[in-house]
Amino acid sequence: MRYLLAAWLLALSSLAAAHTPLESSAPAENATVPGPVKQLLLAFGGDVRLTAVVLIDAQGATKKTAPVPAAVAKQFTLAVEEDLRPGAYTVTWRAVGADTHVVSGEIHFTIAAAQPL
Amino acid sequence: MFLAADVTVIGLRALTFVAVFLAVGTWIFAALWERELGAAAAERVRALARAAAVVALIVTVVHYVLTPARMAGAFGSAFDPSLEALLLQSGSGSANIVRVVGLAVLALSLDRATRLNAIAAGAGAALALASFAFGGHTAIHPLRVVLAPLLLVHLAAAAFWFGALWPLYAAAGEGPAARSAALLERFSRLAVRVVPFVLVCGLGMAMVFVRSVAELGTAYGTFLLAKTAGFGVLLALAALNKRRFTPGVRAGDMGAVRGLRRTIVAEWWLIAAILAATAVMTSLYAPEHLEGAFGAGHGAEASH
Repeated sequence: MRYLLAAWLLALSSLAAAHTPLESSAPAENATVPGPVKQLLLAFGGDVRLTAVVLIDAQGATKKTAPVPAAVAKQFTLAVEEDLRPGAYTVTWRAVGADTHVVSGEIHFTIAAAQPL
Repeated sequence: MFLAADVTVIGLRALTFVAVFLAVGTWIFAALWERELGAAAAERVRALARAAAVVALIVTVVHYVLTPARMAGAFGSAFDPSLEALLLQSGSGSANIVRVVGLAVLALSLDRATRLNAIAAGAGAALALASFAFGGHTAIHPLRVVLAPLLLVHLAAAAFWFGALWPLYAAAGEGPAARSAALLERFSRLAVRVVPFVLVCGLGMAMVFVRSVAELGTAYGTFLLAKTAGFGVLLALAALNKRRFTPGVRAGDMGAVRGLRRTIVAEWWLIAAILAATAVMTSLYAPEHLEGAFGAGHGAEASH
């Protein structure tokens, strides 16, 4: 039984994130943005119900964002409700698509440090 | 990004697949060969089908209840009313409801072997299998009218095979050798006609879902290839049973009985693994042309 459980966990953990219909985002994947980020935009290839968005900094601290709306749409804009310092950030999102298929992914972006005058 | 909710819910889905196929398949075996089995063995087969139906029913309900947790990626969202509503209105919601009704009817009607119960059990088994056509990739595909019959025949043939294994395992070492061998031979004769439908219908669906050789390199295509390879191994094991061990069982050779039982156990676990792999595949991946595409009418306002 232990071996079955271990094989199951290994099989799932080795699978890449699937069903990623995210077409674009702002900030974009791997983008370096100069200024403050006040909102996150996620645009999907079809109608989805966005179910979770978590924004974390390089130290793993969660930054507050507006709640995800309980609506089905192609595009979602969420306000970032605290100031983000320069550094690397990761947005982890999850959505539900056709026939309750779960789709998920990550967006990585960096806020550049202000240049000295 | 795999979370505990993913592992749990997909694991429960895999268990559901195995238990539903065991319940329906074992009932098919009992319905076909009840007289040949004898009263005591037939009762044991019905008891197994009933137990599998009850387990499938419980796991289906738990899977359904926890699905919103996977939708949001957190167990705390299991009772989120908006996600529950989304699930209920989806094809998966309908599939789960039909499956629960079918399994309940099947479990209740396997209590005693009466004519009315036999009809009810058939209806329950049919509903449990038909539930798979209510959700998933076949349900959201534009060619649903072609895919649904292919899926149902594919599933019924697979259930016939899977459900026969335990009763055949039990029969191989019980009673007169001639009776065991006769049952094995009758099953083999029918299996030769039924099992090809697993492959033919599976390939038919694959030709709709996989539109180019290159798509076989995707995760979805790789799973399909792995399932096909597993089917090939199953055929080899079945041929070994038919050609080598069944004549030995007829001759009363205990070595052949042990060999037959070993390969039957291997077949059982391989089919269970294929069912579990199918649950993982259809939970995580979609055919290339459905990846990121969303069927018309699927959403909060969808109705099925």
